[in-house]
Amino acid sequence: MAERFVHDFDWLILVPALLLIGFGLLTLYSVGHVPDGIRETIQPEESRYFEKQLVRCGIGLVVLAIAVVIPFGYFEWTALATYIVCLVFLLATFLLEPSRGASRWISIGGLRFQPSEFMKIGVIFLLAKFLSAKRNDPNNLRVLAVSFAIVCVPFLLIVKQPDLGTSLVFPALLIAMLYWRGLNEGILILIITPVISAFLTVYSQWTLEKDSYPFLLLVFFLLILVIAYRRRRNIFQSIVLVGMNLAVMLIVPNLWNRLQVYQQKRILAFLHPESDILGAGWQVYQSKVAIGSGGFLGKQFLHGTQKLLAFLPERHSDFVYSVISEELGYLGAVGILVLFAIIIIRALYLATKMKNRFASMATLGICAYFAFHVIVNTGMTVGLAPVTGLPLPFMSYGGSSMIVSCFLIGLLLNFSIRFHEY
Amino acid sequence: MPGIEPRDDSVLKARRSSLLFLLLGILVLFALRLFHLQVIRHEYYEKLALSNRIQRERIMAPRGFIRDREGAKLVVNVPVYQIDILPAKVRMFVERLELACDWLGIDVERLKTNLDAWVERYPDGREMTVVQAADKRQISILRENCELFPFFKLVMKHRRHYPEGSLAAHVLGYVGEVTDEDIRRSGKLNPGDQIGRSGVEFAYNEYLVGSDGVKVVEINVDGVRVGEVDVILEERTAVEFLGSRPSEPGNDVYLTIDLGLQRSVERIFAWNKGSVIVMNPANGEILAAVSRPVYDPNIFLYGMSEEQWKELDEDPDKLLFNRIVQATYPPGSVFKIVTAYAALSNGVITTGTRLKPCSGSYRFGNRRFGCWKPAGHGALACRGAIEQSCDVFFYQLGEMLTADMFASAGGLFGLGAKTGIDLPSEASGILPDNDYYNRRFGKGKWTKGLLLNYSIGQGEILTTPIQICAMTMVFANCGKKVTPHLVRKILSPEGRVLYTGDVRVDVVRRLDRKILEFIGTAMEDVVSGDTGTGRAAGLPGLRIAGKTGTVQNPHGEDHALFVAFAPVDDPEVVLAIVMENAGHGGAMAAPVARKILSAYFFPVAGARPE
Repeated sequence: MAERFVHDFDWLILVPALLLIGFGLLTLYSVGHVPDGIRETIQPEESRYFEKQLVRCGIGLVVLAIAVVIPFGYFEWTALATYIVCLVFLLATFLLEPSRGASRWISIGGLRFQPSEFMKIGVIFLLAKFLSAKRNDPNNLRVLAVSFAIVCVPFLLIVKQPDLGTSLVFPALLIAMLYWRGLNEGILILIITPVISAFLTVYSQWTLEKDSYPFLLLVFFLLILVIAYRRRRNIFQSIVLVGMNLAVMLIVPNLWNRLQVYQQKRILAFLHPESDILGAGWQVYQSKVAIGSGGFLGKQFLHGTQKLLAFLPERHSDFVYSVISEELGYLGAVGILVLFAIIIIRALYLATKMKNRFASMATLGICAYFAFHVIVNTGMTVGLAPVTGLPLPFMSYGGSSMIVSCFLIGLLLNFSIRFHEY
Repeated sequence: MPGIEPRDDSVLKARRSSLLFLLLGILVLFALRLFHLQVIRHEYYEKLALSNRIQRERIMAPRGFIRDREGAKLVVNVPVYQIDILPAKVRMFVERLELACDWLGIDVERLKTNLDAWVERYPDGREMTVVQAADKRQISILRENCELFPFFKLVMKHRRHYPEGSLAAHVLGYVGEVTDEDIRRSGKLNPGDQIGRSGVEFAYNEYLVGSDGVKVVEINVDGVRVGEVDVILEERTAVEFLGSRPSEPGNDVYLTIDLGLQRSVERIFAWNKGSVIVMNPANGEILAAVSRPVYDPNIFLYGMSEEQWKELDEDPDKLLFNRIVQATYPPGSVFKIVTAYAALSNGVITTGTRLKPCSGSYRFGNRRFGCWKPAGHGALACRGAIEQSCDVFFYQLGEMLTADMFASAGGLFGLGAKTGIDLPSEASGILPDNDYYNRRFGKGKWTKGLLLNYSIGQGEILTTPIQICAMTMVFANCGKKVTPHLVRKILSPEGRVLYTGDVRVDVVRRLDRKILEFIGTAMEDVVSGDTGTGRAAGLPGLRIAGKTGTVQNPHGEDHALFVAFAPVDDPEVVLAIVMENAGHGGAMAAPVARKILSAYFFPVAGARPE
């Protein structure tokens, strides 16, 4: 065990994760830091984010270590129980007084946590266990129905909380894991691409500021053509794919023009927040200003002005990436993305390498978890995705997210040293 | 592995590469997006970030002082604290607003009503002034509780203060805050600016306003100042990039007014309605000028509500009305010196011509025109007629002259046109000619009877006090006409001369010097002759020339007028006095002239014949 531990232990997963935790802590320190000579502008609680998060990191590392040690068979065995316990906690949030208009929190013995974060683990385990069973072919309607049901229950509960951002993780996990299990690729593509086409079409036609969306739409269409060409053996499906996307791109503007002006405005405010700087778009606007003003090398650690003077909202949680990009510049911003990419790619390779089917499915789920969080969160800060309030793993202030991310990393490491076990 | 088939690795690897392709595609896209934001459009966002946290605060430049001819301060600035309310912040602290109003002694209901109306009018959230000039208690309450009452803002402003109170108030004028209309029209003004509204404050506003400075301060998202900008930004950037610059105070305006003389005139002129002008005929400098009734311009210091302003503006006594240049009266007998000039210069009479004797009235057609002295003056030549102000003598001149002769003679002395004095709203008066009467009454529908009245300065002719004064100056100067003015020089804060009161000397060539000298002699008789109407103006040891006037007023008592210049051989002062509803010029206005001349020529207290 000891020898295997040293030989197979995946340092390329642990080290980037630790680096990300470190950067996250430094950023929170920066958020709470006020240089001399400037009147105190931050609130007193902000100066304590760093210490509080330090404690949570400690807890997270302990959880990580535990997750490495326990044999993964145990997780497979308790998957259903884990799912049910998480669901019970999630239901319990509705029994408590809502705070800030949403019932997302639950507190036990003074510890406050977010059951929706832990629910992600429950869903990954149960889906992995269900789909890894040999007889459960994903192209079978019954299997699809059960998988949908596993995801739908927590999804709907979290939508009800309401927390749209977090709830969107579950469909993403489902699609990724079904794909990994062998759901027909063509059907998957036929479902997903028209949705993306519709988004991009609306974006590119009604942006108020000159932006890159028309370009994105073009790139996306070329991508569809490439996919269609690569799948030319099933020529009928390829034609339908291109046809459907083309139809969406042509019909959406037509439908749009039939909407009332106020309806258009509402949709635009969702899709393109910049159009209303002081309203919903304020956050994204300020985030872009923070990132853009950072430049190539950044304003240096502790010297961000957007963050300092409180122009950047939610700078400790949802928009923590903007603070990093402001202070560490393009190099820092891309560096963070690279660190996440290393973890995700290593996990992808691990998923192919795993002998155990449950572990392989779970690894892919973890992959999807990190990829979705990183893409949606950073996409939001650079104005490429709507504002949803999804945290950036390891970096955003918050205990539940930190502990779940650490646990999942621990799990990946656990799998990596036991990759040959069936 | 019993029971479990080995997985098909190639399938998984294909799926892996699809997922990798997707992930890397998105990440590359993000990297490009970041590159776009952080490298390509970096400067744009840097500017945005800067303007986010930098606020350019205007430092209002203090207005220049207005001083007398020797530099004594007539208008200065004093700091006043104004309390503004920020409408956007009130909503968050409604319950605290009541507490704040209670402490500050403000009527909260009225404030709320006003604020609602204000927000409706200006939806951009601009601040509304609640208290124009806070007292010490209010200032200290707000300073101590600025965190508790973030919706109130203390703003320091310069306001005009008039240390001499109502002295020369109409000459100095007053200032007021700009209206939206002013801002729209000028394009240069900003809300909160003060501009001259009347008097010298208005006429020389351009010189008096300074240039505002810009202070660059750093603010946080709530607009709270967090420090001077150089904490984060270098001074150089602040100056070059953001245009930080100090404010420059306005220029000091030195008037021609002599404070000592002005004080004396204010004291001597103990009449409730009218005006006095004392001028140096050599250069047109106005040494003292009084208009009554007067107001204390310091009432503007603590701000004024709309009602207060209305009350002042619509006062039946017209306190703000500057009689020196705005009021018009018939000149009365003072005009006789012009009639005499017209008659002599047109050759209608000579200096020796004696006209029909005065028997107390004059018959014209079937109308009877009375002389002011019912007993009559007997037969007089021109000099005596001026001395005694015999109406009958001038009626006869009026009969001989034409309306155009009156108009052209009056025009030579500057009547019927603005004098060009540097005060706003000057009236031109009326100097009727043939066309005027034709227009007014219809051609052929008026008789020479009008000209009989014209000859003694009654009827349609209207003049302002400054015109009468300027007219007298031409006699004093024997034909030299100088534009009256109030500003001697303007000095920049560093002491550079920016402007000097231009002495526009206009020698009226068509004036006959001999005739002017002759009339001047007659005017001296008015004061020093045994039968002169202006004997009350006489001062032993000073040769004074003058002319009385009593203007018939259909609405009440006659207006008393008196003009004078002295010394006759080399005039140093010209003065014009108008006392509304005072009665006879000789009895009421002439004694005032004596006192003023005494104050000018014999300023030592003991030497004053009082």
